[in-house]
This record gives sequence, structure tokens and C-alpha cells, in this order.
Amino acid sequence: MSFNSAGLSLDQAPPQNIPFRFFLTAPIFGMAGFILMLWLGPSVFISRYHPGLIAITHMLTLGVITMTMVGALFQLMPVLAGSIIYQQKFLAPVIHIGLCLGTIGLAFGFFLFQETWLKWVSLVFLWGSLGTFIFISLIALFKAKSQHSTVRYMRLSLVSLAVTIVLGTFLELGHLNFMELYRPALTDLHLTWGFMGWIFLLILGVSLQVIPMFQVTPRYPDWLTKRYAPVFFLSLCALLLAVFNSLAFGREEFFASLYSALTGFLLLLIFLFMVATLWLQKKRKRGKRDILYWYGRLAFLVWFLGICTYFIDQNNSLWVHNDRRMIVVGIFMFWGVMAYINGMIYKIVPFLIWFNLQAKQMDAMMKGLETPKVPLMHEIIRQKYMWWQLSLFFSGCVLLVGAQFFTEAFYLGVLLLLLSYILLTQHIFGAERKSAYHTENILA
Amino acid sequence: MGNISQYLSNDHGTCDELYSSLENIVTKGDWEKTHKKAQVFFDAMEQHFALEEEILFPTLEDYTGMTMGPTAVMRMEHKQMRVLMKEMQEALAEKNKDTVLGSGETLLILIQQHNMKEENILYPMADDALSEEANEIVQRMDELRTKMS
Repeated sequence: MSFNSAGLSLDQAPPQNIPFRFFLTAPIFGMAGFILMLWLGPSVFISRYHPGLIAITHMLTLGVITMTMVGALFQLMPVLAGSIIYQQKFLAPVIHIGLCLGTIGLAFGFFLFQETWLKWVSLVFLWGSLGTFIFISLIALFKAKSQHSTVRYMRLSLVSLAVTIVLGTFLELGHLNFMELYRPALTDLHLTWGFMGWIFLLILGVSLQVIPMFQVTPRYPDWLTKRYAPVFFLSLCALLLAVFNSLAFGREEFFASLYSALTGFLLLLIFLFMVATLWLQKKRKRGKRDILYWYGRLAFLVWFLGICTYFIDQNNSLWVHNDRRMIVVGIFMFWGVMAYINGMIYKIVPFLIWFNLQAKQMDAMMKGLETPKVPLMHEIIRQKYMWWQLSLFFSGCVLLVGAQFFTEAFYLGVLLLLLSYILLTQHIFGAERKSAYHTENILA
Repeated sequence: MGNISQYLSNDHGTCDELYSSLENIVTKGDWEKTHKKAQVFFDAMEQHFALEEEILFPTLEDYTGMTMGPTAVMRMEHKQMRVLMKEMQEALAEKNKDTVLGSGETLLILIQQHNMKEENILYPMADDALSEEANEIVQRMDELRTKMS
């Protein structure tokens, strides 16, 4: 095989504006989600099927989490897999707008509830944007020369996103009275595939590369890079089959216990990943603990609490009804994901800005021009401010869990979360402004 | 993993460890030890750059006939690292802890994403393309290393 027949070049990092349009939008959806929560009040937590809660959940899962992950994938796929994403300069903005409009439409569709047309329109936008994204990403990943474990995790994660969207569409068709609304079976499946498949598998796959590198730890053990992914994914598939079999053939009791066993097994696998990561971090060479380290720790802690909560007997008097238990599990799982993503953003955004500014400076230097100094990562977003954001986020989440038992904690909790997202938005926009300012200086 | 991958990836690991121990010392504020550790780290970095810039890259460029391809990007990133290393050295001379750690942090991330590209893409390509002369390349790298240290 000749060296260039694979069509590879290492200079494929996309232009800064491709990932940034996603990173800049995500915290705005976070603010919007928490404003909506403030407005609707503590009653949103009465039931997991409260339309307001479903609207907020989708603003956070699609608007914040998926938005950031799509942006990060645009950046990471070329670097990790060395593959070109088809027409990215044209498709990234289109996908971005589709995802924004689809998310807003979906949230408002639930919220205003009667607006059937809005639900249809949002389905079209979400299918169009995420469908296109999954399609071009999978092509790029299958064509990639480098087929290491992260590439395999990314593929499974994207397939899981597709399954999540299909399941979500069934649910939406149920809301539109086109089919029966299979609750809670389909809802559980939809969020399990979304959380464990799309979000967790991607976080895991990226961590396999990022944690040993940034924290200078040993590499992850072979069982995690090789066998773990197929076992995890097949368990998710078995979960799907169990639910569909039970819907088709009855025998509900048998399939329900199979379902719980599989969910327990998947949670155990997540737990194993956390243990492996903590073990690596214990052996780390680097003493410095940065914001990503603490955000990662926080994520693990709340995931652990979420997993424990899941295993507390659902008939426990603490819960009053099973919904409350699932809501508490949900808050813990969400909290962890948002913490992890928040930490990553604080690492990626300053780095990309510095990297691009530096490249422009080198360009100018090659042409023999005098150029001003480029700010370093810690000057682009100050560490101190990130700590403020982390503290607000952490306290807000604690209060939100507390609010499930003492409603009084609700408003303060959501307010703190809103503030943390206002800060995050300000930090990312501030970083972007610095980037524009220094770019102008270099070019001048 | 082929011979070339193995050899150079190990070298990345060594540099990472040297950086971490330097960072740990700087955090403690022991400037006496810092200067020694810093020199060891900078030397190891320059040695690794030399292995690539003087042996691996030219051999690959000869093989492919491309000098503006992936190797050019890697050379460019080495230059960016040198700029940061210089900033670090200046801050070390001024005993400015914040700037040493700040430029170090940026350098570390740059190194990591650079290594990611090399270990995932460039080295496997080199293993593939230069499989016949791999042993000889590794031997030449060993010789250059001895000469430099």
C-alpha cells in the first residue's frame, strides 16, 4: 500500500468555527433549560412524564450534551482517526441549524403540547440534522485507516444515537396518536440507549485516549479497549429484544426480570470503567490536578450515587412512588454527564483557540512579520473563574436532588444551575472574543 | 505495533514522565532542582525531535516523494513546541511559577494531541511503508541517540 493512497493528511483539523459553533450554542441551551425549569416550578418533578420535564430534558440532552458531542466529534474524528469528513465546511453549519431548530421545536412541542405541527417539524429537523451527521461520521470512521479502540467506540456510539432517535420517534408517533404510546417500556429503552449507548460509549471511547494522555497515567487495560465495547453493545441490543419480545408476545414477568438483570449488568459495566479509571489515576505520574480532573471525579461520584440509587428497592418508603426513584437516578446520571462535558469544554476551548492563534502567528513569522505574543491557555479562560463555575454547578445539583424531598430547595438549586450556565456561556464567548481580538492583532 | 511505532511511542512516554516530574517540582517551588529537571526534559524533547526530523521524516519523504504532506505538519508542530519551550525557559529564568506552569500546561496538551496523531496515524503508516528497513531505521535512531547524549 502506498503511503498516500489512503488519502490521509494530518492537517485535517477543521477550521475553528466548525466545532465552535456547537460549543458556543450548548451553554445557551443550558440557560434556556434552567430558565424553563424556574418558570415551571417544582411541579415539573411530579412525574417523569410531565411535558415540561420532557421539554427540559430534551433541551439538555439535545441542546447541551448532543450539541457539544457533535462539535467535539467534528474536531476529534480527523485527529483520532485521520479521516476526512465529507463536505464538513458546508454540512457542519447545516447540521448545527437543524439541531438547534429541531431541539427548540421538540421542547416547545412538548411544552405547548397541542401543537402537532411543531412535533412533525421538529422530527424532520432532528432526523435531517442528526441523520446526516450519523451518516457522514460513520462513513468517515469506516474509511479511517486507523481502526483503534476509540474509533470502534465512536462507531458504536453513533449507531446507538441512531437507535435512540428511532425509539424517540416511536414515542413521538405515540404522542401524535399514530401508534400506542408504550410507557414505560419504550421510554426506558429510549433513555437507556441515549445515556448508555450514545453518551456513555462516546465518553468512554474518548477517555481511553484523553485520560492517559492529559493526566499522564498508564494505558487502559486490554479488557476495556477490546472486549468491553462489544459486550456492552450486545447487552444493549438484548435489552431492546427483551422489550420488543415482551410487547409482541406478552410473558411480561419473564421479560421484565430479564430487563432488570440486563440493566443491572450494564450499570455494573459502567462501574467497572470507573474503577479502572480511578486505578489509572492512582498510578498517575502527574501530580497537578486541573479542572478536568475534578470535574471527572465529580462525574464519577454522582454516577456511583446514581447506580446505588437504582439498586435501592423500588418499594422503599423513601420513594413514595417509583417515578421519584427514577427521577433521582436521572438527575444523578445527567449531573455526571454534564459535569464531564463541562470539564472537557474547559480543556478543549482554550486549547483550540491557542492552537489556531499560534498557527496564524507562525504563518506571519514565516512571512517575516513582527507579531504580538499569543495568550496561553490559562490566560484565555482563568482557572479561578472555572472554579466558580464548578462550585455553582455542584451546589445547584445538590440542591436539585434535595428538592426531590424538600421542595423548598428547588428555586435556589435551579437558580444556581442557571448562574453556572450563565458563567459558562460568558467564559466561552469571552474566549471567542479574545480569539477574534488576537487574530486581528496578528493579521494587522 | 511495528518496530518504529514501538520505539518512538516509548520515547513519548519517557517525555511525558519527565514533564510530569518537572511539573511536580515546579509546583513545590524548589528552583534548584527545577533547573536540572527542566534541562533533562528539554534535552529529551530535542532528542526525540531529532530522531524524527533527521531520520524518520526524511526517509518517509523519500519513500512518498511528498515533503508537504503529513511530515510537514509534524515539523510545524515541533516548531510550535519549541516556541513554548522557549517561553518556559524564559519564565524559569525569571522564577515565574505561574507562567512556567501555564506555558507547561499548554505545551503538554500540544504534545499530547501531536502524539495522538503520530501514534494513531503517522507511525502505523511508517510501519507499513517502511517495514523492510524498519530494523535499520531503529538502529540509526539508536546511534543518533547515543551521539546526542
